[in-house]
Amino acid sequence: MIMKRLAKNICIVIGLSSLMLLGSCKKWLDVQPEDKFTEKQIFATPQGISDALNGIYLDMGKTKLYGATLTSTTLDILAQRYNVNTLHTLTKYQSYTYDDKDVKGKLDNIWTNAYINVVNANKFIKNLDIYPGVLDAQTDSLFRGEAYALRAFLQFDLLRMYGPLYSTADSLKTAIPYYTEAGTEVNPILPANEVMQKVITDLKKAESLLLVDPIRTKGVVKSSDKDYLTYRNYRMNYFAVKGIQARVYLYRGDKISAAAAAKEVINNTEKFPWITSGNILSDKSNPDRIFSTEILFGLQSLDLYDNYRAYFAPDLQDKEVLAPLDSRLKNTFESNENDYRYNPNWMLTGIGGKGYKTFFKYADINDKKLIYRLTVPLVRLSEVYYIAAESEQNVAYLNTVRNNRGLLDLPGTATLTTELQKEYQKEFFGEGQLWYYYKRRNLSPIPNPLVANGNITMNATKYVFPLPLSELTPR
Amino acid sequence: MNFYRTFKYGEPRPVYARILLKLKLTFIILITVILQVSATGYAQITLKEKDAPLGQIIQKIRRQTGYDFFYNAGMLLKAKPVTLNVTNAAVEDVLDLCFKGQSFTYRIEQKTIVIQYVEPRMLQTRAMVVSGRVLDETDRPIPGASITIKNARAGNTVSNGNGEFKIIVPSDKSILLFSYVGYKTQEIKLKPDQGPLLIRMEIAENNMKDVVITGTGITRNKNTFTGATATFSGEQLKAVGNQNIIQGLRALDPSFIQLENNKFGSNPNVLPNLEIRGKTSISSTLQDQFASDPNQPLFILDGFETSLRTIVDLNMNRVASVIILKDAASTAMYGSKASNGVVVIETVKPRPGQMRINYSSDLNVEIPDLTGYNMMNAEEKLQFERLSGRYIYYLGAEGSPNFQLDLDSMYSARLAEVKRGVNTYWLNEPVRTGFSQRHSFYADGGDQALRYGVGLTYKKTTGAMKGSGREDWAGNVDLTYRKGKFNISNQIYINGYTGQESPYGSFADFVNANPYYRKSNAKYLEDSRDNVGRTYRVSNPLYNAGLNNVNSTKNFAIQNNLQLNVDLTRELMLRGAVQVQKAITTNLNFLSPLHTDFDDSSIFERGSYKNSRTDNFSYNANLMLTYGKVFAGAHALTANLRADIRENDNQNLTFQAVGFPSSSNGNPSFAYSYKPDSRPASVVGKTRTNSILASANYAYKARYLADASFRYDGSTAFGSNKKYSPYYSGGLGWNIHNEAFMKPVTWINTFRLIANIGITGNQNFASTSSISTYGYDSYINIYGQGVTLNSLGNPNLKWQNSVQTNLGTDLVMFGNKLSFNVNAYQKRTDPLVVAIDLPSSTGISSFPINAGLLNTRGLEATIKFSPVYKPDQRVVWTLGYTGSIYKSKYDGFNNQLASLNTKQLTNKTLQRFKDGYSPDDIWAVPSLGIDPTTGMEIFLRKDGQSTFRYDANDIVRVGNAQPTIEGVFSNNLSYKGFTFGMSIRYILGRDIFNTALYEKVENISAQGLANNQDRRALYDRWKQPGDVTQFKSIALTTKQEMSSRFVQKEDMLSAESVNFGYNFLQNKWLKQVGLSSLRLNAYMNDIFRISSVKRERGIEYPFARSVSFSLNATF
Repeated sequence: MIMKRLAKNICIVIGLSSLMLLGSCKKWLDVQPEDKFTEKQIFATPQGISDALNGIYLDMGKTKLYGATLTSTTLDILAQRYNVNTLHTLTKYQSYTYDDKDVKGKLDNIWTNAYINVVNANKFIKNLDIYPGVLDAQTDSLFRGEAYALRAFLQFDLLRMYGPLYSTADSLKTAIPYYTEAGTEVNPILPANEVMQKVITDLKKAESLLLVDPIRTKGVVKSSDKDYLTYRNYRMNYFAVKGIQARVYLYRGDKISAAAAAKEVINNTEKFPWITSGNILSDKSNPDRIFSTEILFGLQSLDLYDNYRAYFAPDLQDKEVLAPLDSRLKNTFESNENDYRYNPNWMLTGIGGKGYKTFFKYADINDKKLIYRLTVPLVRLSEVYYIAAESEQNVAYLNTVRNNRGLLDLPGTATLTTELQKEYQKEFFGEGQLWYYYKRRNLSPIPNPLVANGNITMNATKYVFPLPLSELTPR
Repeated sequence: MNFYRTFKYGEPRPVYARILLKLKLTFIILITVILQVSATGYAQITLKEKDAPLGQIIQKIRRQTGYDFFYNAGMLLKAKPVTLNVTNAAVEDVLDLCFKGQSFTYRIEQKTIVIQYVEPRMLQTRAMVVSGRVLDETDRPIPGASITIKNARAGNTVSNGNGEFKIIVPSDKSILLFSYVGYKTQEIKLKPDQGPLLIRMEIAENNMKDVVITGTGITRNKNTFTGATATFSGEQLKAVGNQNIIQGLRALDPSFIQLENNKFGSNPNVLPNLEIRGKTSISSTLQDQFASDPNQPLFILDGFETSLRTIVDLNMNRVASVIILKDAASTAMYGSKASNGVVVIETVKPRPGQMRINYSSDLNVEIPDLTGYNMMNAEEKLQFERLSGRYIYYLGAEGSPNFQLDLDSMYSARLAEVKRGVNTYWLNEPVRTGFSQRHSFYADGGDQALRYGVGLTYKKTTGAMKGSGREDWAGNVDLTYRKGKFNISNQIYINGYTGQESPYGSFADFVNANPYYRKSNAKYLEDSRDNVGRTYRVSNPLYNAGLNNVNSTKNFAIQNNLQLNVDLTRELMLRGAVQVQKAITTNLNFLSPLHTDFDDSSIFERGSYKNSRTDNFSYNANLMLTYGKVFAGAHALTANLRADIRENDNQNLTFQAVGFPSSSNGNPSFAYSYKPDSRPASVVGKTRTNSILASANYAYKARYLADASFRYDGSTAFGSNKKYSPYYSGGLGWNIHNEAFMKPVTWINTFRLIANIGITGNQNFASTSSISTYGYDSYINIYGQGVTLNSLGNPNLKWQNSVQTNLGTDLVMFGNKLSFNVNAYQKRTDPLVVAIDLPSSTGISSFPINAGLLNTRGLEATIKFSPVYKPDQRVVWTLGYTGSIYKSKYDGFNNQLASLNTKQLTNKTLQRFKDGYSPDDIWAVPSLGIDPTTGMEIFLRKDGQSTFRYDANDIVRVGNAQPTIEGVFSNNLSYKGFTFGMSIRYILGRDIFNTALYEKVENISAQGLANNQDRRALYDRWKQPGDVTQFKSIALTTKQEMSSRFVQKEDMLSAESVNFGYNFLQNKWLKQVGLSSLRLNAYMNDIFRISSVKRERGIEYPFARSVSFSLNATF
């Protein structure tokens, strides 16, 4: 009888305790998603952190941003580079029809995607604080510096696109919001000058963090024990930041600071050696048409050659290809076939019966292993020289660039401003910088690509992109 | 099997001898008067009297017949006066008439008639005391078994701790009923000299009438539970329709609402949208791929969570019962998944005995219902095009005069075709009458120890659209073994389906086709220019349908449920169950390279193939301890402690290939390449939940009732910081009919009041909403790959909880002839989880936040009345009525979601989030109608002015899509073996935005003229000044904004089900052919529909009416 009772009690105890066990495993609920990674997982290893930073560079290199839209297609069409056929899908950009449904969508897309990368950079900086001790001090500083520079670079470009014409008077006009934190807090749309101040602050912060950048001593190296220390000119390096600073100060009208920043790069010109005709011509199957050695900051875009085939390839139909009127192109290069930028980058192939030259800068090369394959240049040495020339009104800087493009010194009669404009027109095909140059100078007549000579009248409405609905509606 | 068991006692009665019946012997003292009269032969009487005293009549009879009368003189003073008119009648007949309704009667003895008082009935019966003992199937005593006297309301008792009882019955002809939860009720007819009874109770099979099964293994006695539930047997459901249980549930329960799916109509592959007591969630963007509709109730099949797909495909013949749990007291046991209500389905369990084989066959005919469509015929369409200016060259455009000539010749060509009689009715092309059949076998049997049940089902459905259909098959093996204290049961269930979508694609393509085109197999019906000179092509909807496109879904699933019960003591029971489930679903979608979609694609990308495979694996385990005891014969307590764990893994892999040869059969090996720039898509979801549940039910003398439950729920979905969440409920009830003071009120059988309150949750959100996640991108540079933010989580997100209250009553009267079940409820979901879009510069869209609350208040009622109620003779006629009213209101938004409203505006949706308004409100600009002078619409501005100009700022609430009241009228008649049933749904006072008016009467753009349109576009639109019309000028092809003109009030009646059945239960020939039962049923579902609004129903797939037959035979 006692035994029976005991057995009964044991049964009850077992039953109860297994009940408790089942319900109490807290760890058991710690399920990590398998098809994505949590923040905690990513920031637990140096590789994860490195990947999180690289994710921003990769995303910026896509078609939607610097892969094409902010370089060779949208921005260059807005700068009236090409004779765009009325049947072309991008014809509405040439006419600055910003309220067209497709144009609206594209401008919204640029905005949204640029800010998504800003969020990624902000989140990255924040997470380096939240998950400390994974990186060594130098890498930590380097990565932070890059992230600060990236968010400044992106938001500066947004300011240049969506912000007002930047003169002293206009700089108080509302422009864009500036984000330094990732989160749900909605930042106000700031006046242009305040955005500018934040860009400068971030770049200064980046500069100080990037003092540890090995590029300052070693230049661009091809190999290193750490991936991210190779080819520093494909990341936000110290000199890229300097170049961007020069660009920013000049946009602001602060010529002294612009010249100072520019000169720091110019003094290190040997780290970004000028392209030689040999580089361009010696290897016919792998010509360095982007002048890769001079790049201070560039990105790799996997879409580059797809975009080339979709927009620039000579076998495209007339209504599909983006190319200037031949006479206009000739005028741009002042019929000078010696110019490195003219001869190998523009060719008359006769394919598809085309009687005009087409753009070859972003045509594929044979050797898949060459570093300059897939490269989109975003900041290059020549621009820093132009900035120095403009800031100090010194034509010598301009001549240096000309000499390295197969051209002679300018005659003494030349006007610096006119020549600078010509240089921007020749130098930055497919890089989007000409648009910003026109907008910065608030040039009203700009060359009309549909005719050999003649202009298009510009105004503030054309120069300033409207803020997208996705930004304004939820505000 | 004894899976569910609660502890209950019957009516507690004091044992003291209260003499219920006093035997009063009435002695008649006869003071006799003997009247001697000589007899004179005649026994024939002729009398004509009106209101004559009885004494007088007696004298007359005496005179006419010569009979002597013997009576007490005082008696006749109490007699009622008599009226009669007889001629030559026999003496007995006359006396019968005289004594009808009198308090005395007569007796003829020879030539003397003796008049005497009617003997009191009591004299014929005798009260007695019956004692006995109630035992269970293993001969152990059952305490608390209820012993009642049939057809008596008093004197009931319960067995004591040794199973013994003593009861005083009014007569030796009484019948005693012995009942105990989980056991069959036994009827014992008493004998005149009844000795002690020994009752051995039999375990009830599927007897769920008195039990509320919650699906968690916890059961409650229906008479002492305080939750609002509704129980339906498989038979009841099958009486409504034979296709699936959803059909039956919506007809039988007012709170169970199936939302009309106007897009997919009667497509057999599309799941219904269901709701119990309204919505609790307004955001569907936060779900992950494997989540179900956030407003859908939870389905529990045999104790384990299951999908709606499984429930819809479930063979109805396997269903033993369905219980709908509606309020907090009944659903809190499901904690975080309970807010939308729970539907618990129990399947048939094997019964002991010789092997029984049951075969049932269902045949279903679906007839497409195209009555909602009101399209133009060829002549009308051509006339409409002409009036709309289709054949007038647009002046503003450049071009040569030839264009006008072209248009003129096009018109004449079309007119010639129309005159030739071309008038194609394209709507008929993709539809057909669908025939479906289901065959199912079930065999069961065994002894008390081991029982088995084996089932097989095959169902083939052909949909109302050509080529669409489903094939379902399933098999199950159930085994139970019972020995002493142990009871083990195992169920294996294997099933699969193949669903085919119609190659005809969208039904809308056929609705849009112009009737003046001849039917052909060409790729294009026409290649021509519009009135501004642009070229356009009209694709032939029949062309694509003729290609070998495939869109099919295949599924295979297997599951095993194992359950073990141990009776530790009589009070304590341990129960454990494990389920393992695995399913594979593959979707194949092949589009032929000849499809018109690929007209503009390169040769390398024509034709596409998509393969998407989803694997699901889940396991579930639970363990429960149940304690039940009756203390001091008055306090009944049942308590449960339960723990469970669950893991659910889902994995989806999708890839696409393109570039097929034109004769391809869709085999991916013929593809040219993968889809350019695509990569295999893979989604993996793993969720785990665990919980502890404590629940108790207490009843005092079956009068005062109380329930409480507490659940502590853990889930991977709650976010990283908050893994557990508590849910609880409490309820009180009062069985008024068991009170002493109600004893004299014999016409009330049951009168119960219940009230409860509790907190439940809604967990149908993506599991990672609260944490930030990163993902690798298929992009690379010299530094390798990179990760970017996939989603920014909200770590402060609180989960949606609903506070539910319910007040209800059950009232049964007049011996079950009239019953009321009424519940009033409130569901307050606070806070809501809403996905908002922040300004795009924050880089965040669809960010989950907590905002506002949703308050739903409602009332639901079920009334049944049986004018004829003779269940013993199998004759019952019941009229039923169900009704549901509810209103939902937003609150607490404080304009937080203004941005969402602006987005709704730009997206042209009709809903807004605003305090005090309902999620079902329809928003548009109020319209004042069409100006008879110009044919343009006049809008009402917010300031009261009228204007031609549409301004989105004038948008106000113009209607509500929620009906004022919705429900079902039913009429059920059963006469012997014959049954007839009818359910008619009524929906009153709901507003509808009529898209047919908006898109096919107005808003017909220049391009839209190439499509066929609604007749009203021709007849009811404004044509010339002075026309008073509802619709704007026929010549205007400009875009028309949404206004109140397109919102219509709908009242609707539809015949959800009409059915006839015959059960050959007692026919002798059944035995001769070896059948033990045979039942035949015929149904008509959705056979008619009357609505005050004429609109198109079934945009992509038409609705269908169905006629079905079913046969059920047991061998």
